[in-house]
Amino acid sequence: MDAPFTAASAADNLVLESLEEFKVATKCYRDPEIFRQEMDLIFSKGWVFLAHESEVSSPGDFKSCWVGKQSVILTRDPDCRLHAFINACPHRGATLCRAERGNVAAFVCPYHAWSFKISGELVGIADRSRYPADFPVVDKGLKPIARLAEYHGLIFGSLDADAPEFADYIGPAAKHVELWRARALGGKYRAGTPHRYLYRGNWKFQCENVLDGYHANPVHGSAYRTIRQFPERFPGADSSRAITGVRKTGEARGYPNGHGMLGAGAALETGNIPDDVRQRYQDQLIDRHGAQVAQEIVNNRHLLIFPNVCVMDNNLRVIQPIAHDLTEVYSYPMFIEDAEPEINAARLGDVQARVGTAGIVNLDDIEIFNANQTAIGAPGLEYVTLSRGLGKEEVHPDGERVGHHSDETPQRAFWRFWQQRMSAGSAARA
Amino acid sequence: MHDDLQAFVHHEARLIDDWHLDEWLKLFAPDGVYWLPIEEDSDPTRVASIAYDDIHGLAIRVEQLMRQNRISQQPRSEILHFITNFTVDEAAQASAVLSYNLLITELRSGDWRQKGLGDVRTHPGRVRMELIRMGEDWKIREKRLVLLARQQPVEGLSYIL
Repeated sequence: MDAPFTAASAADNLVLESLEEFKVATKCYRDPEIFRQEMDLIFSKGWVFLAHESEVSSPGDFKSCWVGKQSVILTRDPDCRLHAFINACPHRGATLCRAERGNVAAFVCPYHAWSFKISGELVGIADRSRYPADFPVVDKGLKPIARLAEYHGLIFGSLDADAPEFADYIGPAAKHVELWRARALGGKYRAGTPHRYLYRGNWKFQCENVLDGYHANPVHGSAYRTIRQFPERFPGADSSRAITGVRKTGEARGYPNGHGMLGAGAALETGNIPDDVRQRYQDQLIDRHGAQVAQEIVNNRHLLIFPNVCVMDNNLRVIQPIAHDLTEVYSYPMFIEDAEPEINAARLGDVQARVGTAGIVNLDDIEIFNANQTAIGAPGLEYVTLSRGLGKEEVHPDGERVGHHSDETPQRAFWRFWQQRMSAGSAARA
Repeated sequence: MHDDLQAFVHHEARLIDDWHLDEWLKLFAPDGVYWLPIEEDSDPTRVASIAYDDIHGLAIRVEQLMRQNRISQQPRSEILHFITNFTVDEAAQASAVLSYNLLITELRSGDWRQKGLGDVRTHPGRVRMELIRMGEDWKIREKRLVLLARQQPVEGLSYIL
């Protein structure tokens, strides 16, 4: 039996904010007990990304997902309705579904062959006559998770019946999802086979990093200097100029429910799109939205939806906690249905070369995360500081905060909400 | 012919192991391709791969690794290629197709108590290599490395396999 929760955040001074400084205890990245509480109080409450709709587009499709450490099966039934279940046979707890993706007519448990419809109902118990006559079967279907939400093709699940409506949860960060969706020209996205990699550090290092405009030059200088030498491959990618520009035009935003956005205020040059194809795509965007909004749509933008999915220009990145010091990252290239093939090939080429399994950018980030985990693996350094831009950001009435591109505004939003969730758990049990 | 082609494969692997990547790059034909699929036999312009690089993409990797002090290669990976089950599948005057099993072992030496350093990592896979004759030399038209763990999360691929 699990030990009762002790006061997680507030009492332990894990996140400290004053007018001068915003500090986070290094214990938050190091402590296996805090990791366990995160799985219970963050991943098992609120909303967690399960899949893109295209991964389960046809009746019979299923995907095995993880909500924190909980294995969940997401399915689409013959009436095209979505279902999500705990991936455990209600008989003796066997893992029902071993495959990551597939299409089936029914699930049959590998242990004792109980069978279930893809919508979860129990179909049959093998050799049922040996059960009591009134053996209750109504609760022997697959156990559904509490909530499901579809939002612009993104499917989220919650293990908590009391989670807020997803629209309220995403709140004012919704506009960034809408802009991302608009890149698909009114059509749909299709999620491709993901790029996958691991690192030996805490999951929150990657969450902070996708919203970090401050690290780009020190960590990715080797990639920028390299790309600058291949102007034929990256037309207009004079990255020294691009980086200087981002300092002026870029911005970092934080939201009350922990979401964050890092935007360059300019388009990221992906290269390799023939001029006429690029022009036709731009024209379509302008026809739909006007020139100003069209520019906003193609501007480089990372949106972290708390806790662990990042909506990026050409991909969705999922940050999957495995242990306090082990994280899997997987990144789905997102193809635009009906777009010209050169557009999709360039989107794939960009995410693969830059942030894929062997990317020239992201592998330098995870090197830093490994090194962070080493450094805070013992309590010598008790706090880190996330104070850049503190007190200098705009604060809007809806709780949105806007800082400069290199400010730690979105990271503070993440940690404020993290603290709220971790403290709520202890308060509720006090 | 068999020995000639096998010698080429050993040479190619040795250039990676010795970090002579500029020389390694010259082994590729101008239309050469380096491909590490995630889904074997997929169309790499439509399906994600671990890597799918033309000569320019490879030149970018080599430049970053050789001269731009990439953070994830400090300290640098020490690499050993083991080649076995070598066969010549097709051989003509001007072209050849080879295949072999490959075990790549990699170590970033240093303070092994730091995360990510000191682990000997292994990457077993199967290579299919397509060569063409250009003048006196064989050149690589395609090096396709199908890693055994291609659908699993791979750790720290910041170097050339």
